[in-house]
Order: sequence, then C-alpha cells, then structure tokens
Amino acid sequence: MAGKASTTTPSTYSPSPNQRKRPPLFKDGDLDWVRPDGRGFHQCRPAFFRTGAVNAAAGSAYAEFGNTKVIVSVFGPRESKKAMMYSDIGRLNCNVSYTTFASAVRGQVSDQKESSSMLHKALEGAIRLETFPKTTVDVFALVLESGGSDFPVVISCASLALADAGIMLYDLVAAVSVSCLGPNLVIDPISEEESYQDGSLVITCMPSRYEVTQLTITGEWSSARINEAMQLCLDACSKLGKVMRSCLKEAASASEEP
Amino acid sequence: MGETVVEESEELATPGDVLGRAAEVKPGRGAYLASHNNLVYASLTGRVRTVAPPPGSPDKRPTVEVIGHKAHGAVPEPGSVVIARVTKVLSRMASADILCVGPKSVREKFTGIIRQQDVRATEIDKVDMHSSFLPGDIVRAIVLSLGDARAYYLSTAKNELGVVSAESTAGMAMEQHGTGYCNSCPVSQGKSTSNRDKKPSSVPLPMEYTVAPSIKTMPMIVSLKTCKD
Repeated sequence: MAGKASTTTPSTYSPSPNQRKRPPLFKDGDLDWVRPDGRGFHQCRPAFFRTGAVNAAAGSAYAEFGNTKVIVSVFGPRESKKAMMYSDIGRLNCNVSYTTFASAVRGQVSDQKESSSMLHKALEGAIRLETFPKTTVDVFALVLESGGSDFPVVISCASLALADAGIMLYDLVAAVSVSCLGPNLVIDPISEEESYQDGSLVITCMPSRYEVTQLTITGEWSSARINEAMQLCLDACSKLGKVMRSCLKEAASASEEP
Repeated sequence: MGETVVEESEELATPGDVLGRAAEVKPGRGAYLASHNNLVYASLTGRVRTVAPPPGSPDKRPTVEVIGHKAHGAVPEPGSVVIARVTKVLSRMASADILCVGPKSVREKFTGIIRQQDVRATEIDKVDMHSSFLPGDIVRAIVLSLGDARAYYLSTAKNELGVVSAESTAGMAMEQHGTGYCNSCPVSQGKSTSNRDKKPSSVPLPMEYTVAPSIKTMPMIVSLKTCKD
C-alpha cells in the first residue's frame, strides 16, 4: 500500500530479531517492510506481569507489553447494592477505563462501554460462577498507557488479577490480536500499525483447555486468512499462558517464604 | 475421622493445571472435573494437597484439593457459623451485618436477617424481638440459607448460638449471668430481659451515671464467657 511505504522506507534486509518468542510459522523473506520496532511479523512484544499491585483490592495485576500498560483490580466476592434480583450463581461486573494521558493525544481513545461489555463476555466463560452464589465480583481495568493491542492485554491482565484474588476459574485466559496489513499478518500490533490495519482479529482462549472464549473479527477477511490468523494467535496464546503461569507461581512462592 | 493420610506436595498449581485423571483422583475444593475429557483441573493458585479416601468408603480414589495461598475474604455459606452485629430490630425480624464467617473476618460486610421464628427453638410465636436483640449487639448465628436478594437468613435457635456481647444503656459491656429464656445452656439465649432490667448486678453502673465507654467499636473475635450458676 502506498500509504504505508511512505512512512517506513522499505528495505531489503531482514531484521535479526533480538528476542524471538517462537520460531516463525511462515517465511517472511518475501515481505517488504519492517515493523517500526524491529520485530518480526510473527513476534510478540515481551510480556511483563506482576500480581499484587493494589493493596486495597482482593486481587490485582499489572501488565506491560512494550508501551501498553494496564492495571486491573478485582474486588469480591462481595454483596452488590445494585443487585435487586436474586441469582443462584455469582455475578461478574466489568469496567474498563482509560486514563486521560493514555493516548498520544489527550482525550478518550475508544469506546469504554463497549470494551467493558467485551471484557465481560471474554471473562465470564472462564469463571466458576456457581462457587459464589448471590455475590458479585467487580473487575476494574485501567489502561495507563495505550500503545497498541490494548484490549488483549486488558483481558490477560484481568485473568491474572482474578487468579490472584482467589476466585475459582476454569482456566487462565490469554488473549492475542493479529492485524491484517495488506498481504501481511502482523501479530501484537502497536498503535501505529493498528491505525493502518485493514482488519483485526482478537482471540481470547483458555490455553490449558484449548478452548476459545471470545473471537472478535473486524474488517475484511477471507476464510483462509482467518484460519491462518487463528492458528497464529492460538499458538501465541499458549506461550503467553506459560508466561502468566510462571508469574503466578513466582508470586505464590514469594508470599509463602516468610 | 479416622486417620486420613494427607499429603501436601511441593508443587504449586495454577488455574487450569491438570491434576490427574478422573479415574484416579476425585476433585476436592479448588479443583473441578471437566466432563468432556475426564480430567481433573485446578481452579486456584496454591499448593496441591492429596487426601486419602476414608477407609470404609467404596470409592478408592484420593481427593485432590488446592489450598489457596492468599487468605481472601470469606463468603457466608449455608451451615456456617457467623458472627454478626445487629443493626436494626423490627417487630418480626432483626437485621444484622455479618462480620466473621467461621474464624475469618470478611472484607466487606454481608447483610443477614434473623426472623422471629428463628430466634430460639421453643415458643417461637411468643418471641419479643425488642427484648431479644438491641442494635449493636454481637450475635453468633448459623446461616440457614442464602435467603433472598437482599440478605442471608440467620438463625440463633441453638444452645451455643445467640447474643454473645452487648452494651448496656449506660454504655459499658454487660456480663452474662445465668440463663434468660433458654433452658440449659450457659449462654444467654437471645437477650434475656433479666440481663437488662431484673438483675441490676449485671448492669455495672446506674442509669443516670453516664460514662464514656472505653471501647466503642465491637471486637472482631468474641470469646464466650461461661456462666457461674
């Protein structure tokens, strides 16, 4: 696409990646542009997770993927004043908000109400709601800096916060997004790549059970490319799942030591 | 319980970790069975504990549980003994805030109600709510059920349940003497009027003497005093 070529000069060398998360599934020798941060097309940003960030909450987690920084607090199970209807199973209440300084231009980045309901749909399949009847679990996600691919980071961070709070889950939830830029499929896009994308696909899956809780596709896709993108994402999700588990185990063993 | 062999392993489990096959282990607390592939997965982050089956049972599978590392707040469940503080007394029920479930305190309070018929076991239609409870009393109760959308249903109709600690009208903590309405128990069942009106010895100070109470807030862990007969 002409628009893209003018921002980054197409060069003929293949960048040597400094940190490969996994071997490339497809050969990218014939693709002619370089990602702004020098990653391969099928290479995710290094993930940093930390649980127990917020003392006041029952559980919390902080995630940093490159420039995308998210903090999630979980309160509950607790009584909900708003709940007027009795329910046999627990309730989940999600709220996603962006700080005013989250984006490069000050002001609201994207639709918060939609993100909140999407987070709810992504998480409710993984929580064992029947273990806390009549009570509510509140999940509050705050995006501190939006550097691209925010929503998948919010989901992964929220599932870590839920595990930290001691809420019973079926499995951890990991999410990865893929952007379609012309003929290329680019995983874990940054905000610059997202602004040029033709379409995006976000998969939220439970890595150990190999089940998908949410799939969001926007833009124009052919079925073959959808399959390719899904395979890419599921593979990345299982690797992300391992990173998340090691973070939880580290936090658990650190809290047990004294 | 006979000697159950409990084995705690050194490994940490995270939600979604496979703990075993359904044919070999039974899921306990913190684990669940996935019916589509018959595997037992963990639900919490914590240490894995294996409990051997009780010797007489036909099921020879050990129970595997995950002990959560984080002591998070408890949630009232039917059958659990709770400590609650009475907030409102009406003619047929009393409203109470649940503060502790078993030995653990809750992070945020839950609301419970004690209905007139659940105050004691005998003569339940003759219960006078206002002489049984006053707002501010600490009560030990058992959770009858999840109740309705607003409150859990509590009951004090057992010997070891009832008002545990109260403040008199002068503001000092009251002592427990003998029995009120209850038949044989050492604890004052409900709140006996004798503690308030008829036995002046149990009210430490006369009414006209006002004293600033030393501890206004109710203690979280309440110990039960046995009665002197």
